[in-house]
Amino acid sequence: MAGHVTTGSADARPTLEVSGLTVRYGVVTALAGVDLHVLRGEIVVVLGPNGAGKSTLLRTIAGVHRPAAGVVRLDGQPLPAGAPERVTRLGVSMVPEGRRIFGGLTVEENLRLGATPRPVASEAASLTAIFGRFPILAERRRQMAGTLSGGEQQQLAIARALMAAPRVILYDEPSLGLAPRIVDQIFELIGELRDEGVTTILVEQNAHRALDLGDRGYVLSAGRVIARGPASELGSMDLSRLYFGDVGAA
Amino acid sequence: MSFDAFAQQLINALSLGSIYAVLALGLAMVYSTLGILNFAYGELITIVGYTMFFASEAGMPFILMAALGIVVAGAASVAMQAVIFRPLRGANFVTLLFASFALSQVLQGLFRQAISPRSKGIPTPDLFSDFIQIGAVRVGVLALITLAVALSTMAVLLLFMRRSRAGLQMRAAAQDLTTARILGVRTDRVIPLAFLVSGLMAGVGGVLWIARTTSVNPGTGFTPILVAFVAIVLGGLGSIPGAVIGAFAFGALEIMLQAYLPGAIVPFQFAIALVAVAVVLVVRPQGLLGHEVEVKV
Amino acid sequence: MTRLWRLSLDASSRSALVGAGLTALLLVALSALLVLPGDRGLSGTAVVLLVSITLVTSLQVFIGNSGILSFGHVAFMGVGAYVTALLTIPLAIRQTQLPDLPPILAGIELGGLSAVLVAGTVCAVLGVIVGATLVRMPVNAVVMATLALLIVVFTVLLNWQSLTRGGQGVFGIPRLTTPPVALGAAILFVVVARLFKSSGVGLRLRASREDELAARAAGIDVPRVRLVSFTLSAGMMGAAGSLWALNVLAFDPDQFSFAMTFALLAMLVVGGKESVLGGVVGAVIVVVITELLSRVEQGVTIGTFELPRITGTVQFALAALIIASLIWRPDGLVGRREAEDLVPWIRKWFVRSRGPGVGSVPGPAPVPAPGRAPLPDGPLLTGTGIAKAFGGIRALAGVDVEVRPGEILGIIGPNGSGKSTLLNVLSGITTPDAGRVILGDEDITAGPSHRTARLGLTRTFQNIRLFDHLTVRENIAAAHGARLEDVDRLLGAFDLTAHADSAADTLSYGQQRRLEILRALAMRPSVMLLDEPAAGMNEVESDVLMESIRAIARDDGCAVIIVDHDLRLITRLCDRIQVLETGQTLAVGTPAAVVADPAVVAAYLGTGHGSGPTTSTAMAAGE
Repeated sequence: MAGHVTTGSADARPTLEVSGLTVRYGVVTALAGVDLHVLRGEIVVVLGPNGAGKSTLLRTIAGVHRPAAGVVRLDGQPLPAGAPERVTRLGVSMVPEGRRIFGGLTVEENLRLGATPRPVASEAASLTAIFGRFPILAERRRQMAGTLSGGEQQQLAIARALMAAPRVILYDEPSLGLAPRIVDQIFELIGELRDEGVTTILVEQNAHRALDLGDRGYVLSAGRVIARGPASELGSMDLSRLYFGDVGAA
Repeated sequence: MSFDAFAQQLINALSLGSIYAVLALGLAMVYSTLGILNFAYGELITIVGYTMFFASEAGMPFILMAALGIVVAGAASVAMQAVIFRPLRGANFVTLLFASFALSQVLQGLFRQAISPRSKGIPTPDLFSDFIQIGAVRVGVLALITLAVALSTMAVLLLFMRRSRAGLQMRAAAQDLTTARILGVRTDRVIPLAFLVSGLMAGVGGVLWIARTTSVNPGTGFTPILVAFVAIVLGGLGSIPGAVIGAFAFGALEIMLQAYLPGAIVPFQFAIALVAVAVVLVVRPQGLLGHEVEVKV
Repeated sequence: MTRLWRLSLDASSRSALVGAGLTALLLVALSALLVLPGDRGLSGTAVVLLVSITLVTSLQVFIGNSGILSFGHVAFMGVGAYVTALLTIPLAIRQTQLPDLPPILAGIELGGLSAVLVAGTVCAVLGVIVGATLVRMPVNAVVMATLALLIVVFTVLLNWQSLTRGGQGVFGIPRLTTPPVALGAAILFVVVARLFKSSGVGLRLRASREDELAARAAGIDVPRVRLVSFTLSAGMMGAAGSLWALNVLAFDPDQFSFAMTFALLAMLVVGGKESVLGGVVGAVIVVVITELLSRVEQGVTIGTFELPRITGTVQFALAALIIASLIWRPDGLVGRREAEDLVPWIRKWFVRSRGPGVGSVPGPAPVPAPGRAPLPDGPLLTGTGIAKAFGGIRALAGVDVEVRPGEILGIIGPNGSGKSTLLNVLSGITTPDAGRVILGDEDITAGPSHRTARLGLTRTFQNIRLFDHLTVRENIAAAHGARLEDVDRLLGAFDLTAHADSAADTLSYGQQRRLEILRALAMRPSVMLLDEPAAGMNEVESDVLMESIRAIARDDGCAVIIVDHDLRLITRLCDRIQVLETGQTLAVGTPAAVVADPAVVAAYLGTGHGSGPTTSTAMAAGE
């Protein structure tokens, strides 16, 4: 089982707290009163079948969607809704689903974009540090981002988020469409970052891998939290049943 | 046709095409970032003309008139964004197009009433009507200057878009606005910036156009802007290189028609050019460089 | 008597005639108000108003129903006006103005009615030619193209000196548009516009305005219906231009440029472009404003003014009015309502006169479709080797799929597995890079989607695509091949009769989903594709949905392919399940087999420590 981060002084107040979050798209209710919290330096895993609202949850935290009800707090202060650029400035970065890198820009340009919330002067130093950590990206710095492989793009997306020196990172299905070996690398990276103190919310379909890595988890279904608890506990639950239901003619 | 006559026409075509290209780039700037076609863009040229007119009345030398015209165009474009496009943010394409159309009518009416419905002449340096000899070919000075100025402007724009932080943010916003915002790009800065750049391009294009026509009237901006629109649609909506190519193509077409059409048909040259473009669009609806996009159902 | 009337026309045509009648009453009242006092100036204003109404109504026929903004219609007005001038100016005067006219035109002199008819016909022909090219362009380019049309015609009118006298203009046209003529014409135009709107073509065109993609998937030949309305609108515009010419008596090409285009578009925007009444109301407002402001400008009460010569304050006021409307009332003053909608007791009478609604049938019991050709024995739909890439991203990499009559096939897979792209290829919305799709005997690989729908493959969409502002009934009736008798029965079977005359966007989410399925069903398909039909539904709703789908397949023999993320629903409903992953088929088989497949479990839950295969084996063993 993944290691717990035992900090000497555990922070009682959560770094990120979601209370009663309800999000609607027109007549569809995507999230219905979701409560969730993340402690400093934790990895919290969010699981559930497609359409459960996992992405919507992350995007609402990141400020892309305005909730119909409920609030997201960072260190006790409410995060602005509908203003993703301000949320990023406050230290919450997202690695979006499907990576969403700018295919028509170079690797270096993508990274520079990630540094938008930070002063121009610090850009060069951040870039050097990132290239140190991601040698493959350094190699391909002048290539068009659209020509990178899936795994490299995922690295780029994470590196890009790191350029903003965030305190909280939200990962939306980072293993999507990647080969298992690459997924291993990505998850290792996520773990390393957590060890360096980055608070993390990880949305995944790859439930077992994610629970291996995470500290705590929530299971969403149809916009509601249907299970929560320490990762070890969730790991031994019958998730197949939750996902697939009862098989057999009705 | 003799070589030097052809070369002369070629330079003319390139020169005219380069003005259209600068204008088309300005329009495309706003279109690619926001998906809006600003109908009132043409009025920016008219504004350049009137600015230059009043500056000339005040005795300014041409170069200052031109600089002032460019600055005013940029400011006017930003003003348009604040007054019309910002309140209508989120409205659909047709509504925005129509609102900008309404704006252009208001401005034209304003010029007609507040200034005059008649043309006003604008003095240009004698230099512009000279010719110089390059080898066997006699080339107009103005054509060369136009080409030089237009190309340098496009080069500056390219540099800005590729090298500066702001330019990078604009390019990102044009490709994927939501993700750009997630990364921290501020739309309330990027959008007015796009309009400013667009206005400056209109300014440069406008100065070059006025230098060519030496007069301004309330409807001045109309023809060049129509060409810019056509160039963008011809090149493929959403493609910046397409806009430039479409512009040069149209400029060449116009000059060639002018040179080779029998006299009686010359007044129809613009109409013929438009029909030619329509034919191209029927054969290739997405334009010369437009591309297929996945349908989101 | 009333029963006869009820039987002879269907409900929407009756509604149209009543509405037109009410609008006509309004016009009569306005005319009376202006003409009866006997003041020359006011009578002149009345004619201008009525002629403006014919112009704006002609424009509304195209713009309002298709949703496409046309800047070019004034070109038809100009052509109509000049044709009329050339045919009606007394020969002697004509000879002095235009000495170089060809003999046919120099010698013929027509009366008012003939001239109007000729003008209308010429413009209709022109409309077909121009329209045929326009409707093949993407919508944004069409707007630009209509602008080009305006310019081209203006240039021709200005420069073809021998025919038009260029910038000097023509004069001497007889005044044949008297107040009674103008009134009659305005009423006639309104009736035609209303009848078109409620006709089959008009309905299908309005559907394409609401959602072009869904309209095509409902079997509507969108370019064709657009062409029909463009032609009609062009012809009407020509006739209206003729009436206009027979009132102003002298004009030049400048009249047919932006000022006029602007004024007419202003009327539509301010009044409401999707409604014929809206155009009329807009015309009244614009003419009144123009009239008042012109008088204010000149300080003196003057007789006839000419609407097109809008300058100065009038233009500002109009532009300001337009911008204000766009910001605060984007649908116009009247919105989408027609005359009969504004008088409540008329609405009620209509609803009642349709006959008592079918009693609400609890639960679904879909209608077997009589008269459909018997289905073949083998597979109905076969897709082989389907591949599609979008700019470097491979969405599908060689997928086979097949489905038999009465079978329910579920397609599942993680995000990005290619499910949506597959549905788009099967329904003809996306053309694959490789592979074939055969429906029965027909190769439907290349689509287009309306052809695929007409051949019997219909679908619903992930992000519900209804014709939002059309009524529930209209949503179904607009689909190609939907029969009126079926519509009412289907509504009853799916529990939507009470909402038949409500706009589709007023329905609840579950009702909207059902309506979309109904629309697909109304085309009596042999194969139906359902794209996430249960998304956002609670357990009760999705159970009901499940029953409906099962009944459709069983009673109808229709094959159903359903994509959904609700794995509970899929495993209980489907006969077979196909699992996609990164554009390829991972597994195909019965639900029990597929769920037990370790590869499938891995795709969904991931491999790793903890419960994996063990659990699913336990499940397969039948707990």
